[in-house]
Amino acid sequence: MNRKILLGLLLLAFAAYAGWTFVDSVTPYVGIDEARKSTGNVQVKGLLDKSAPAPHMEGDDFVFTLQDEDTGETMPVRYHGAKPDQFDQAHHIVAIGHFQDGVFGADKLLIKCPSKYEQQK
Amino acid sequence: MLGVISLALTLLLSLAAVLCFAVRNEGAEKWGRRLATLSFAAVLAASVYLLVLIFNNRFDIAYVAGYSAVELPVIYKVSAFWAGQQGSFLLWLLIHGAAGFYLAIKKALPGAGMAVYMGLQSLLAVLVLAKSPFVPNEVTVQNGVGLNPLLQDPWMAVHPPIIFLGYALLAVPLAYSAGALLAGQKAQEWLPAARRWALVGWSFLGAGIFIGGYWAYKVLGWGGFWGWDPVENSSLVPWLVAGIFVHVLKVAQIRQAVITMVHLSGIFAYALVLYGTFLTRSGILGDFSVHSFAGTSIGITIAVVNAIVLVSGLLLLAAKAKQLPQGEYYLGYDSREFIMLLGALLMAFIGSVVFLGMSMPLLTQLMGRPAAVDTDFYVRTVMPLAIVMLLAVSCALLRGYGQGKVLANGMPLLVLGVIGTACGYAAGVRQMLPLLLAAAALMAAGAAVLAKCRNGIRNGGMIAHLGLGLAIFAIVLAGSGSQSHTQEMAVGESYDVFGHEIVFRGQEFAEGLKEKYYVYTVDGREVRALTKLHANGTDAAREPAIDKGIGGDVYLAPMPGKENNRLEMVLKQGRMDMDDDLAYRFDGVSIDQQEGGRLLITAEVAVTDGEKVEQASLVMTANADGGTSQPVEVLGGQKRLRLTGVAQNQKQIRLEILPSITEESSQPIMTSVSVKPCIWLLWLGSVLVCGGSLLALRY
Repeated sequence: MNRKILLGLLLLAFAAYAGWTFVDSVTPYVGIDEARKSTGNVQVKGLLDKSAPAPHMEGDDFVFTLQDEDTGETMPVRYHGAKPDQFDQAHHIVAIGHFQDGVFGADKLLIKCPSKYEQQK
Repeated sequence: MLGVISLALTLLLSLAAVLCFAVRNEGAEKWGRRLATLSFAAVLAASVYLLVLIFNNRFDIAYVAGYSAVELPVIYKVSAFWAGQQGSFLLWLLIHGAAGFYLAIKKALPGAGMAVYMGLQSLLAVLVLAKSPFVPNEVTVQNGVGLNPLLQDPWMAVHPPIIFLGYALLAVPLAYSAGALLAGQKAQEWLPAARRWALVGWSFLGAGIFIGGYWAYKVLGWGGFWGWDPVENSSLVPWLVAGIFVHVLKVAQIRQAVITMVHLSGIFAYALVLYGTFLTRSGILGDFSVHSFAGTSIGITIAVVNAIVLVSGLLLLAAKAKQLPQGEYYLGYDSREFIMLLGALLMAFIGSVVFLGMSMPLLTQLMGRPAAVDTDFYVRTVMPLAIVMLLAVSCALLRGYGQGKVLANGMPLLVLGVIGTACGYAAGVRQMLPLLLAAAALMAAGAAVLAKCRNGIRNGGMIAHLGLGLAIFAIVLAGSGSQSHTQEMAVGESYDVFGHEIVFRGQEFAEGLKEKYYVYTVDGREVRALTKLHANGTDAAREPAIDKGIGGDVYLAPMPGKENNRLEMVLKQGRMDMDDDLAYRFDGVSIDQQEGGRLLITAEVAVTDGEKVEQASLVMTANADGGTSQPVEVLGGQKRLRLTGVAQNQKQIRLEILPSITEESSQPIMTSVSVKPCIWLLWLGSVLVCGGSLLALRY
């Protein structure tokens, strides 16, 4: 019986750990204004701001400006990595990361393409 | 029309078959089997018809126009069948129907089970009808869009059929289990057959997932094989639960009481298959997944089908629970069956964690504020579970059933554990959990071999568990141990990256300018990175170059150039314009009306380098959506010109001026270089897991 209790406790401990990790890693979907204020990781969806300097590489980073579809607000994005395939055909861009020192540091970019590029697995 | 009629027939015939099997007398059953056969014939006819449409370039059908094109190679025309959602559902129904046909003519599945199976078939037919691939195209087009160039890869051509083979075949053991509940069948009458089908479905689903990962590694160029993307997760979760299914099926043959778990895991495995398709096809994940799926109305239909399967399955199980065999699940804590059940519980935990993570967008959307979890969440939670699970695998392999006889001394495994840790450390892994995981993985692999030596398991089990250990070991090395560095490389220069001598040899353009290669040598061995090009010469799909070796792969991903060597110019009729080297004069444009509302625009441009003058005709075809054009070489290939636009009044054109092929070939290129220690072990391990599971069919 003792072993069963021990097992139960271990499972409970893990469930608590998983729950904590879960809460810790939730990245809410926000607009650019909220992204600027947030402290943790967030996802921001927007359009490429065509009036800003063209997307380019700065060292190992890919830099471009994201524009909020609703408010028109813009925000520079710095993504550590190469320009994603099909970036030029993108309808929307989703940047996942956090805002720091005036720049949105993206860990991941999702490129939303027109249905022509609809991918299926 | 023919297609929709065949699909409707499939639905009606499978519904009729359900009724016949539900009557439960021999004559009706005979008819049920005939109807099941006919239903398969109908879906086969629909599938053949779709292929015929694709091969006849029938772009008046929206699906064909969306995924095929005249110039598509034959193999990708075949794979265009399942390139889109509608076609892949038809493929699923086809495989389901084929398995049903086999079960019907072999009389392998009793009537009650057949009723369930044909019921599932009619649900799938509803899904295909709801989103039919035979819908006419609303606009007239001359050519189809074609297949996304990234998907034009042999591995990606076979990936969907194999996944759907797994999905479809998992319905068979579910039908066995539900049929047994309905008819009150004894365990030994259906367990062996259900286990064989579950093993096949599980192996194929696994193989499909592994192939997807291999394709991502080989084609996408981001250097990984698994991204915890919701679409990937939605196939991983049913695979994990099907894994529980095949293991408890084994335990249930020894401890009959475990049969409750068999029913439960069978229902959940199939329900999760449907849930995964719901999540990925409903558009809910649209903003959260790298796989852009258009939002579609079919989501609700799948959700309803999913609910029907899950609720009716669980209700049936609850209603019949009292008639199921009772008894002990295990005899002692050190018996193999106890440890196996513990392992199954851990797998269920891993599945739940991934399930929770991937469902986050759906759950939060219901609460109003959409959110997703970081991929980090999966790593942090799955890793400790995986370590304990692999230790459980080792323990279970080394114990006997029942009294828990020790088959072999576990001490040699500790040596393997130390080796695993040391390898991980040498590959650059510095965190404790990954190091422990590497150790546990090698121990599990070793335990499988040891258990086989003492006749504790058969060949299939040994191979599958050995593969599991090796694959996870390789994942740790590749995930935590791989390093990456971005280097700008000039042609012919030698760079020392991670101890490898890497030289960029330049670009090579293939015949017809449909693709080009970035050519490198790694320690003297030549490797090529393929880039597929759009008709206008821009990059369509970029693949990495991989130097494969026993110690690991050197992975070279060329990064798009700054493209500052492309120049755009607007020319006015009759006026001379210059760039750095050449002068251009636009002489006039002629427009030809062609069939299908297309325009053939030809612009005459005179080019000179000061000595020679050359007259070039630049051609662009345009329709309502826009134009396409190809670069034309001028002055013996000094430059390439491409027509990108014509003003309404035809007095101005826009030109793109590209450098010569030779010049472009010798541009320096940014390259992301990474090393992937022992990644081949992952591919080997994957093959062993699936192959071993199939081998286990023999017992």
